[in-house]
Amino acid sequence: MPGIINRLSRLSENNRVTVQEMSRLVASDQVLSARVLRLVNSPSYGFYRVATISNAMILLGVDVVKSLALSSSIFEMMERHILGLWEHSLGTGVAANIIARRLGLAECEEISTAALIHDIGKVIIKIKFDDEYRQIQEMVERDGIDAREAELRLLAVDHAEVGEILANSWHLPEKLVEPVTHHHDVAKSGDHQIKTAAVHLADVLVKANGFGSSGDPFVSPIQEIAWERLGMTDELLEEIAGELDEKLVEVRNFSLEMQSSNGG
Amino acid sequence: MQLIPISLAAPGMVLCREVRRSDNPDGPPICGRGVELTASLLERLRRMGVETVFVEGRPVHVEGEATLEEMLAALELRFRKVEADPRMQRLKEICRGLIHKSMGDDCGRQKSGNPADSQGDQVAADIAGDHQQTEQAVGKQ
Repeated sequence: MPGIINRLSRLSENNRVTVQEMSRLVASDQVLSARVLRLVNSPSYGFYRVATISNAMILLGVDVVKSLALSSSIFEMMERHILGLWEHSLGTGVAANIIARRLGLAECEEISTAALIHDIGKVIIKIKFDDEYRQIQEMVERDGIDAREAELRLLAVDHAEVGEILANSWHLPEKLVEPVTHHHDVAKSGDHQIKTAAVHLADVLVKANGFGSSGDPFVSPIQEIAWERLGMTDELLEEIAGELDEKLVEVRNFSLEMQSSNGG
Repeated sequence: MQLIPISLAAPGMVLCREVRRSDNPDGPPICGRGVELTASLLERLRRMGVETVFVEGRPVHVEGEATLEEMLAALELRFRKVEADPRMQRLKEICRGLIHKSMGDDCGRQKSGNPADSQGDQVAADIAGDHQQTEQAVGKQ
């Protein structure tokens, strides 16, 4: 597995890589392509029954499939060890997709993907600094602070920055890196502020719904700049929250199906 | 809304999403939303290989699942830090409404009436997009 990730990462450094080259590489590894197709068929994208990597490339684009391929092993760890975070991530992907479609935003699939991977830094913290990860959880519970604040106190770096480092090491495009980096601070994002705002709002809405577990027991506010950049209204908020609530039933089902297929 | 295996579906429950064949999920629906399940309709759906259905409310009790009171208490707790933010308070109220709806406060609880009525027979035959019975089914409440 690491071999193919390296090759994929190297291939993705080259901006001129073709769909065929990328499809061939992903499809050459059965485990990897199965994982990617499961993610492509997750409720985050609203496409169902995408059967081949090359179809996924056509429907979702090279950047999205590449991101899913590179992050698929992190998602697998998430699913096995931090199930609540996996559900939170899937839910945020769905919420971002609903937001992007309702608001008619460009590059819906990129927004869903950025939302799906927005908390990927938390998995790295768990893998690399398990003791600190536990301490962060204790601090959140005991002191009532945000996970991000606890991370900064303990590690001097937060999960968003860790996610940024990882996404950059994979040579993901900036439109996916920026929402990961700034989903807690939309004002700091640059060229991709709308995508960042959508991921931020999606994150808040999934926490508000109580679906999954991001590691933060408290809902954080929707930042004014995100609200304005997206042109949100109270009516839209109600519609989006309602549609999300319905969709999350499917996400729960998807997550359960994936768990049972992993166990079986 | 609750997704349940067909084995737990019972007459009187109301479908809140269209049912499609599991071997042809992109094909036409075989039963419309708002339709009240009957014994014969359930039998037909089983024979067609349908494995799960979405039903209104939360008619099947799942072990360990939170009660309405627990869900509302958790809602209050998670919004504790944004009590001074009017927009977040609006969002909390939206979420509260969704919790009540999902628990079947305003629609779709399993009915106590005669389960084996004949409605379902014509339903499977009528098949696609039958929304006419939605009001009827909810109206019976």
